[in-house]
Amino acid sequence: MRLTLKCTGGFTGPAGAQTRTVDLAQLPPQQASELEQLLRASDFFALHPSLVKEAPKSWDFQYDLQVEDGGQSHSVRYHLDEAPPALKTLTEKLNDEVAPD
Amino acid sequence: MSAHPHSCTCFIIPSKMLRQLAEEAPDARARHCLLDQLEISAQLRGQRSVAPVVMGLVAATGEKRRTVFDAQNKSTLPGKLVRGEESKPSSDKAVNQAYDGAGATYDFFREVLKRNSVDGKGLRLDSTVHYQVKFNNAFWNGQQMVYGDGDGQLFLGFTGAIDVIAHELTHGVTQYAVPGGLVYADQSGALNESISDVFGSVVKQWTLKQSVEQADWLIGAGILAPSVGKALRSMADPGNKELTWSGDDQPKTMAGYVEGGDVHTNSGIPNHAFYAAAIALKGNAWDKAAPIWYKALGLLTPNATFADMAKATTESAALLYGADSAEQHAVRAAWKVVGVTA
Repeated sequence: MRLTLKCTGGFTGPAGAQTRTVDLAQLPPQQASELEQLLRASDFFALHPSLVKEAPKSWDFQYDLQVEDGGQSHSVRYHLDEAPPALKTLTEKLNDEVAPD
Repeated sequence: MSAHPHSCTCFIIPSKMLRQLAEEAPDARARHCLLDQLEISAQLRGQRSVAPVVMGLVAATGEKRRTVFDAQNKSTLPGKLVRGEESKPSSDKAVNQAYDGAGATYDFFREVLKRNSVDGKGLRLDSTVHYQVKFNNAFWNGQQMVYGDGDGQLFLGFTGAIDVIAHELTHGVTQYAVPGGLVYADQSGALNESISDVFGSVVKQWTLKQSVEQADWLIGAGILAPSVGKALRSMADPGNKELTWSGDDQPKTMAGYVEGGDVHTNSGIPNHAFYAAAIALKGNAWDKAAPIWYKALGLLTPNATFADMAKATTESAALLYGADSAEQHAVRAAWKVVGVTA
């Protein structure tokens, strides 16, 4: 399973957008398991592709997460406040534990 | 979260202990309370003879109050307290730059626009440096400033540019000064970005004592690696890649407006309107153009368009300098330059 997370916003906007790419098969088993559980808890493949706020604030970063798992692929664009709790936690873990590309 | 809880008093506790307690506080409210006491304690040490009177006055009115935290490359905010108001400079350059930049921005709004901090009520200016790893950004999170270190390849860090600091703190000003704030999408979002660029540039000009002719009108000069470019945006000539960097996609007028474009893209249009107004008004941007733009903030609504901003600045020019004044004509003409009619 491959996750690609892009984060856009702040002072730099698209110029400073950062992408984190992680292949769960390449991670230590426990870390991979935690990320996969969060993904499943969020029911990611069933999420609406757009979970953005109607009236975002300047501090709302926009995230784009693409997940490829075997033959299926799904992408969701979201603000953290609109994301299910598991997706929010997953995003925070990716930000903390995976270095930008 | 209240940024100024004044209900607790614990002056008997030594400052070192207060700092330690603040770092270990279980929640933001408790931390702010302890930090407030820490600042008051520092003021008391310097003003012993009038301490009881001044103490209450300081707490009530609010003065320039800055704290800087170190996220230690994590995401948790605010991080470890590393510098407070009136404390000695840190050995960490980013800490001192964040502190000094917040101070210069506070001084500008206070002295030029008569605004006491971000909220107009003396809100303490909290900043966190070293956020995440290789974080290519800086942002105001609704309560405080946050700075990344940059990845060293594209961006070199964000605390070294005063206009970046003032830009982000101005997002806070917009949050409070525009009734309901400005929605960060479409034209209102581009206006939100532009207002931050405007005051980011003017604070830089004010700090350097540069006239409108002397100013470089660049946003983010010095934060990009030299091999990448010279700055992120140009207010004088949006989209001019020679002045900025190869990815500069800002339109200069409505002819280049990008439907559904990013707020950092279309902000080039109101940015250039401000530049055109400032050049027409001559002298220093903070003398007339900036006060006109600032006064317009209170006339906006959350979904304001470029035309609404043109109307608001034209109205504020009339309020400040009179209807049919040269200043009002200059503002109206500036918006016409970028293809926006009030």
